[in-house]
Amino acid sequence: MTQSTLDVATPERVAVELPIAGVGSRAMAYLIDVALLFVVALAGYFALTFLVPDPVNAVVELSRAARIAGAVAVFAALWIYWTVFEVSWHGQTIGKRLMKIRVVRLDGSPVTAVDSAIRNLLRVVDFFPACYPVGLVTMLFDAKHRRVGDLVAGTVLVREEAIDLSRFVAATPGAQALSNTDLDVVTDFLRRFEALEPEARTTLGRRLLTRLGTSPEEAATLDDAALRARLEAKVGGR
Amino acid sequence: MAESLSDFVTRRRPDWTTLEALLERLRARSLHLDELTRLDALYRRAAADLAHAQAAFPNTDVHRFLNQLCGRAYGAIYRAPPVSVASLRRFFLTTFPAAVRETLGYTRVAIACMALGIVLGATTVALQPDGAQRLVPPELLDFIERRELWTDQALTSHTPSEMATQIFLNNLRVTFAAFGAGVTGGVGTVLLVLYNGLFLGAVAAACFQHGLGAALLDFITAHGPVELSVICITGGAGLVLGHALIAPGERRRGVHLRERARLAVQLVLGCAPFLVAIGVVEGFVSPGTFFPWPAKALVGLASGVGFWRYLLVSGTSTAP
Repeated sequence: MTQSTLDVATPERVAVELPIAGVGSRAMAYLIDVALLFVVALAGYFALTFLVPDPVNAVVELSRAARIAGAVAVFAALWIYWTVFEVSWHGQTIGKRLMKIRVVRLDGSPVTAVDSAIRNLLRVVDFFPACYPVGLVTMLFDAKHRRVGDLVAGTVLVREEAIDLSRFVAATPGAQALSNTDLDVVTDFLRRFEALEPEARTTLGRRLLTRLGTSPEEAATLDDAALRARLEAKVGGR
Repeated sequence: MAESLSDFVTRRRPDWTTLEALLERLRARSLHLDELTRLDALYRRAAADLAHAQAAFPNTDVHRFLNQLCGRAYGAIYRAPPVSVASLRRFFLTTFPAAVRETLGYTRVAIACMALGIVLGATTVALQPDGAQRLVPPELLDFIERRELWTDQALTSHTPSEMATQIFLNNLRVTFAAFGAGVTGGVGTVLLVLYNGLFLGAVAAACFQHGLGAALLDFITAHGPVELSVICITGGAGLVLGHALIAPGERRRGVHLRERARLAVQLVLGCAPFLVAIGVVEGFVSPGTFFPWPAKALVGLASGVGFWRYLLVSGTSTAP
């Protein structure tokens, strides 16, 4: 695997390798969360317009105590959103869940309230002075793509992969015995057959068939449907 | 005889599916006790399968699948105890005051920075009244020169009260930013706290020059002690980070920083509720003439002494 992984040493003495989330999915998750918070704030504002006719002026006319309370509430919501979700949703906020990434500690265990508090309090530093330049640079230079908050808190974002194993069925007696790697690659190719770009699909299919013993000249004459049928026969039918 | 990938998956997959279902139910908190023991057994088997896959089927999807499965199960089984009322109680009675006592040296440095800032700001404005124009925001200076204390709603229109809100927000920002700025090696924290003191000193001196000194004292006496203490404590937290970053001792920088960050963030988390409470005092007690000045002074004295007594004493007798 060329991608970076987080190696977790379990008490069972088996190293679990979790794939680390990159800058792209992290940024996307952040944008989703921020967009959500913005929509909620907007909805709150419009809800307020039903109660008071002119919210902007109403805020100006509020007593100082009420305004301080409001400011504290907004500040708290902005910070608490991340921490509450990360602690109660097993390291995920809404954006992270949609992007299928998760915050874990360096030892692979779920984040605690303290870890989450550290990384989210230091978000200000990563954001400094605007739009995350500090965080982005740190993520680019760190092998585990961590921002400053993660480095200090000892946390890292890992990717959750949903892998479907149903393509590995017991080999039928007539099928040619394939090596495990070949089986993995061929079944994965067949699973993604419909989604692949036609030209890439044909090239890839011919190369796979050649690798499994068909002569290159013969493989070059086959079209997509025939390639598929040949490969399916090799792995023992599906 | 080595088992083929397909046979391995076919043989072991039912257990993995069961484990996935149990993990799903664990998240939904609907697991029975006997299921919990089953989950534990299945996790250990899956870990053994992972070890086998690492050796026999490296870099296949089965290997990746087992990594994910074991990672999830490991996280579910070896997790830290959740936050409870008892743990919150313990945090505020023991952990937080102990953290403050442990980092008192850093807090003293922050206090010194703040005091230095106040003295510098005040002397600058006292000796050179024009200096106020550089240190105090122009709108604020405007009010002071018109002899209207921005903190007194009864006297003026609404704009001055906005200034007071801004000052509170500024304090709030400084409180959290002082912690975060610690990752600059403490330089940012020192500058922030120093500048905050400079600003306070300059404002105070300008107020006194325009005969508003008594009014200013009347305003800040109730909430000032605790609010400034909180800023100095979180400033100290920033310095803890900075010191850990600069001088990790005989340990690796990252390891030392992470451990000290745990201590430092305890200071910030512990201070947060006090900051909110003092914000309430600042909003309701400090402004106006509803409370006479002796009452405000009493609130300030009692809260300040009480706060520090709590920090210095709580948990010392019952500490294990």
